[in-house]
Amino acid sequence: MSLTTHPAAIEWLAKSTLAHQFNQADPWTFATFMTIHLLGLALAFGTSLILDLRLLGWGLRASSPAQIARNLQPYLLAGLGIALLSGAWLFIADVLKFWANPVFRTKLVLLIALSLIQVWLLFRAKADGTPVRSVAALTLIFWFATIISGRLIGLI
Amino acid sequence: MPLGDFFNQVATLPISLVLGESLNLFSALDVIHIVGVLLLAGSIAVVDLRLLGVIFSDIGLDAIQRQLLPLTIAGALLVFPSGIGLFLPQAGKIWLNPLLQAKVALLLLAGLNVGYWHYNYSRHAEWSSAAALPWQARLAGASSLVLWAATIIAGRLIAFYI
Repeated sequence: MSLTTHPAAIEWLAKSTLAHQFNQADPWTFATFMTIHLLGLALAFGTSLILDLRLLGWGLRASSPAQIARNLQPYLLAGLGIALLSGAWLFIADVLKFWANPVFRTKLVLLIALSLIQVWLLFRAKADGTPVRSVAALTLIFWFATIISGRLIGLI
Repeated sequence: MPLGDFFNQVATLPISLVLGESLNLFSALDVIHIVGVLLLAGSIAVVDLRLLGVIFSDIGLDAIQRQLLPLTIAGALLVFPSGIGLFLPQAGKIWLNPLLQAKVALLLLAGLNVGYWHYNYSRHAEWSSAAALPWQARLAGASSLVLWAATIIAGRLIAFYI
């Protein structure tokens, strides 16, 4: 069976008590987590977009990248944390279904890379680091790719 | 003409049939809609936080609003046409969905809130560069955050109410 082709960690997670508990949640709990995921994403994306565009020299030019990073940091990190935690809940509740979806695995790679680069950019901008235009541009592309693949998980 | 008949006719318009029969086109609209939602709501949330006075108090409101407006407009240009496109083929049934009805009502309220705030703002030149904003601005920011979040919540839940 295809089950044997999964990595050990995925097997273990799918069989965990936690996965079983999450999977038994009623439909409105799923709906709540999906909704929270979207709200967290809006906050994380909106704040990241403003910072990344500013690093590219666009958008909120009234402020320096360092000032923008300082102002947005709590909201960017809160939004990202909410999106990641609610996303983890949704994944754990249906590990094998998601893992079998190639779009999900693409999104997983994208979002891990995105989260790391975005947080790195935030702290780099805050510390008044040298402009990192190419990284900011790449991060924006990652954002759109992650959002698009995230939506496609449910359609494919 | 009863509303039900009207929406049934909307669902049989040529464009509604085209959109309803193409799974790829419908999925594309879905993707465009979510990108638009995030652009629109994300950029508006940052302006709302400024109105509440919790971020960018060193930057004038006029600069924030002017420089973030293109993002909001880009989001609106993606979200409204795609939303209408998603609605058309389903119009005959989905107009009865209470969460869709709530979403439309919330959208109207959010729009009125934007309009009322800009009317108020245009009559108070002194607000454009003030660090601390009056209660009207904080109220507009708070109600905008609540209304847009509620619109997203209702929108996300439409699919769960069958």
